[in-house]
Amino acid sequence: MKGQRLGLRKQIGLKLFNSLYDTAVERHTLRTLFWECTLRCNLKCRHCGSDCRTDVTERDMPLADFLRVLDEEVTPNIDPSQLLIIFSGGEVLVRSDIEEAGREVTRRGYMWGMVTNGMALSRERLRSLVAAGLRSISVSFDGFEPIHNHIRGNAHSFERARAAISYIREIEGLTYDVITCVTPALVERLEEWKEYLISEGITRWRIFSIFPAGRARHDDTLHLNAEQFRHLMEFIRHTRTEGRIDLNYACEGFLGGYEGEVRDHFYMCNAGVSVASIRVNGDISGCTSVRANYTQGNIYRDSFWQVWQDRFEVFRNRRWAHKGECAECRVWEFCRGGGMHLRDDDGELMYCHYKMLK
Amino acid sequence: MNAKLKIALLSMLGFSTVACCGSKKAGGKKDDAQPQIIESDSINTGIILMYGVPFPDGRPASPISEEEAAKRVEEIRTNEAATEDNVEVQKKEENEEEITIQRGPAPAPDGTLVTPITEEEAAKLIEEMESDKGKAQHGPARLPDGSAASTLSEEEAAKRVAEMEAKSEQAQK
Repeated sequence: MKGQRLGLRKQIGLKLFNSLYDTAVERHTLRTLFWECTLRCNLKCRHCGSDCRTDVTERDMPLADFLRVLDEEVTPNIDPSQLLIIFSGGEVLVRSDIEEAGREVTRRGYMWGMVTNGMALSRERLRSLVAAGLRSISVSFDGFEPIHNHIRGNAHSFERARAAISYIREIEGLTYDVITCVTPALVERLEEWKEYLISEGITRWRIFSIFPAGRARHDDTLHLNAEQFRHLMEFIRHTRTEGRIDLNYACEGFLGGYEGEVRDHFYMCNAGVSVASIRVNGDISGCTSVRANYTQGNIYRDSFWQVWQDRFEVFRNRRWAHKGECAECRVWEFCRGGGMHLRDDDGELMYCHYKMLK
Repeated sequence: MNAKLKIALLSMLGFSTVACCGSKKAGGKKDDAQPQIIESDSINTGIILMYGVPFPDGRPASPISEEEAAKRVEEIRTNEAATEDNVEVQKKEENEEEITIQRGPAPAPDGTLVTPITEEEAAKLIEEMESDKGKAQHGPARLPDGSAASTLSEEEAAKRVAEMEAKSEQAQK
């Protein structure tokens, strides 16, 4: 098992990558923009970090408001073909105007994509989204039927996700992957689950472990212990070596000896560096996975582009995070205090991947 | 050292540069998507974000029939079954190649691999070595089989001598 130790080759690689990371921070070229178009959802998953459900009080952001930001703030300052817009929720498909939104951003030269739980993704709906310019999609698929349905809280969710994936495979040229949130119930059956995904013709797979936020915060049945986490890392490393399915661990967390071996890139937190989000209430922040209050402005009050250029200091300079358990950490220079989504409102670290590898 | 050189060095060290150039590592697998390479001297493209999606590969998307999609899945399954043996061979070759590329730790004289250590541990060892310089450290004597001779108590030594004498008498008989 790899654990925390970094070999010399990896240390050199990480140092090189670190300097590139510094350049990326300095330039902060916007590459991904999340539009949190709704917090409504047709499920109420146990692990939802955004606490999404059917009865939220926040109204959906009108499409026109988002398009105004694109037209007045973003498009004049970037090349639209180099920016990926991700429609985010909640469950995006609860909105009936997603096709209109897709057509509008496509018309402006942007690529767009979305994540879905598959519940509302019929063959017809998918084809209308593709016709509206959908270029990339991810489907949540959390394990065998009992496991998936338990997490999603719906007896039909597994079958609907499976069907959604089959419809996606009928679209040539549509980039997609399948996301699995690995829970203790699945961790011993990962090999079986992998074989199942391969038998379904899935070629691209992403694995998350669940971080303690939102509804998942106090549910211990969802969190992997250290031994399970290490088992997961070994599984991913082995699967990547096999080469039968393209598997990546999520972008979060510095992974010590597993860096460069369980995903296609070294760890870096892109929130506020190349990624911004416009929340359903107009707040401007990093990735939508950042649920603590690191809001940098609001589109109904501030210039989005000015906020992007002149604020986001807390995301771009992480020295403030060099405290607590990070203060004496030997891998601080590579980790920089972990992903922003793992910091609470007080800046305290909620979860450390590196420590799990001890 | 400019960014492009750093990216090139990373590649030479055997690390994927997907975060640097936006292209996906092939991984030796059959994949119906050919990723578009976004030339860049900076990083941050290509990393798939939490709650995000993979970067589109640039091809236009168009529907195919259900039958065609099913046929493609079946082809993947058939290829999987037919090349199981080849995967094993390929895996072995990739592992060997990986070890070569990694230029990992040289094996010790007894064939075991030296465990990688951190910089701090390396620095500490060097410090210890420096402070021990000049002191003779003969260490325990080596037995013919290579194991270190340990210090025996008088009772154990007497027991061993008795065993050796008994074996010698046996051999003479």
